[in-house]
Amino acid sequence: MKLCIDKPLRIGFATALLVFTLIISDVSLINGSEKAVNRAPQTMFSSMRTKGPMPETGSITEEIPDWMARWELAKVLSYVKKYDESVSEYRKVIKVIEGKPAIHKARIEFANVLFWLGKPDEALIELNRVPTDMIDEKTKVVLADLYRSQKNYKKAEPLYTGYLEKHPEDDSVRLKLAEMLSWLKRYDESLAEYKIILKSRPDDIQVRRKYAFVLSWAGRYPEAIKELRKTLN
Amino acid sequence: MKRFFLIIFFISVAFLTTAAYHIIKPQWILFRKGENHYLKKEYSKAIIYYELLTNFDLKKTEVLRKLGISYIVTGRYNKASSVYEKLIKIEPENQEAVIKLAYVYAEQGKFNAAIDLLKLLLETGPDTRLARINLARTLTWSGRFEDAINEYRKVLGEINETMYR
Repeated sequence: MKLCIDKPLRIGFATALLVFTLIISDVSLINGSEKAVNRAPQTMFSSMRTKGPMPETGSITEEIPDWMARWELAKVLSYVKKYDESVSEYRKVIKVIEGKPAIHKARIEFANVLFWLGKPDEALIELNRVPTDMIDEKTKVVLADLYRSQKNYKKAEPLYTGYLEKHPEDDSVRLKLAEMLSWLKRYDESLAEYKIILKSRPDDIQVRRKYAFVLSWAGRYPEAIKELRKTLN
Repeated sequence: MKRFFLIIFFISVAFLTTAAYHIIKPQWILFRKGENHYLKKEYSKAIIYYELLTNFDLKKTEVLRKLGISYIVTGRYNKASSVYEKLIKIEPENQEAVIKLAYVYAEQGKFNAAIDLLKLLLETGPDTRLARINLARTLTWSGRFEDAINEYRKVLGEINETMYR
């Protein structure tokens, strides 16, 4: 039997046999090995941690470095408004993770805490170190607020308008924009924003008064009087 | 002609061997299929095979572990908790299973059960650091921020157990 088949043919048969067996038995030597399975750790948990105030960093059972635990601590400290302590922990974290991809996220959180602590200038310094496309929507509003507080309206405006394009229902941000436009003496644009706000909240006396003031600054006194009367009734 | 018969013979042998493998050891086929889906992160498909495998003894703990993870990833927490409870019965010293069970309890809103489990692990487990971090996270999640802060400080070695008590 052995003699009737030459060597290359035998090798060919053996290979074909092996390939055929693997295909029909749906067994993969590459993907199915023990090592390959065990190599897939529980990394999927890092993306699962998005619920509530649960820290998002890290996974459940893999090694958690000190800086990550400290970062989580810094977050929790901010939840209980211990901003001073939180800032101190964030500083330590940022020092350690400088150069790592997580640095931007840490800086954004740190800037928010600085803002709540009443340190807008430091918050702005931190946010300016983060690429704009990496800043989340809510933090962009914080950044705009910081620019506005520094009278840097040119930088604040696109941040507000960009946010309002995605969240047109956010009257508080629209009010900030409306106020800022009035300070810039762009009354028509400001009044247009006020009108949008008053459409959704016609009974808001405070907004209507502000609207009336802008009308008066624009020299539209009869309309301003009419609006002010509405707030008195 | 001889060559032709020989080819037919080898193909028949291969086919029969594979068929026999499917009949005699179906659990291996299920395991491999489950594994392939698991590695591709097709957890819902992997679950189908791992669930069938729980009827066999083949790699029982590994199957339960992966089934538990697949349930967690697909958000089937009730099933995940029963799987991890089974796994812990088989391997009471399996710290990873205990931590994951605590996580599942927290996901289900059973924070006290999760916290108790992690505290128990702190008393008995080999890696108290990991258990403590997960305890701190669960406390945070449950809104017990001050307790969480204490646990984080202990993890970082800033306060010790006696100071806390």
